[in-house]
Amino acid sequence: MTSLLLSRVLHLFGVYVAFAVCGVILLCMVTSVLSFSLEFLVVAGLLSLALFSVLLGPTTWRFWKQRHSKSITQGPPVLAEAIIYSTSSVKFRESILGDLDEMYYEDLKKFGRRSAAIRYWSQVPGFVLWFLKRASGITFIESAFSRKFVD
Amino acid sequence: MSDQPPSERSVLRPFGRAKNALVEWSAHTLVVGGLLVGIRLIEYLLHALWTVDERLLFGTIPLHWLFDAADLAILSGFLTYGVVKVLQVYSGRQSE
Repeated sequence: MTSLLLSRVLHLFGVYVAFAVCGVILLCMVTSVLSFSLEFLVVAGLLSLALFSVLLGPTTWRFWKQRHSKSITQGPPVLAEAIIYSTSSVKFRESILGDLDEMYYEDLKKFGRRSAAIRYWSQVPGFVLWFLKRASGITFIESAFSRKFVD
Repeated sequence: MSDQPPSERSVLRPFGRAKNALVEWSAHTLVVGGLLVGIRLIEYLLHALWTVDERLLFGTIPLHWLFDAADLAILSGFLTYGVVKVLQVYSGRQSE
């Protein structure tokens, strides 16, 4: 019974500290709105950031560690991976990342980490351009013009 | 299967749930009490350090409002989250 009580106390401590921080954040936000002061907004933002880091940090870290479970230092460049992930088409995202991972590990074996990372990064501009092209609707305009000329 | 007779089990089960609910309620009370005392101590410490009656934060609001806001949030949490958790444990929807 004592161990159960202790475990519940330890668990609830974090919850109630989060409640207290939320109360301070709320006060800062209300004050910043009522007195038009930027300082309280900054304090509220920093406190929110700290709270969310503490709450979501462990989960994010576990996810990242799981993704790079083989070797964190030898995996593909994280930033390039994130750019490709966010700019690639949802439909083909998994297969694209899988192919690029395969390419990276092959290059790693053949040429070393630096060359593999450079080759991985060299894919990024293509994905960004393709994303911009899709986002700006150039494909649609091109097809519309071509149809007009054909007609 | 338990080796107790059914009549005895049906008598003990509500007591078991009540015991769990009591543990839950004690845990909430201990944490809330500890945090309120801790906040009060920090407030007294700051007051002793500055020796100014009404310290204003960024020249706008009194400093003790921050502590009052934290107290209010904790008590509100206790009255809502705490009560819900204790009722959940008593009703047996939660094993803890």
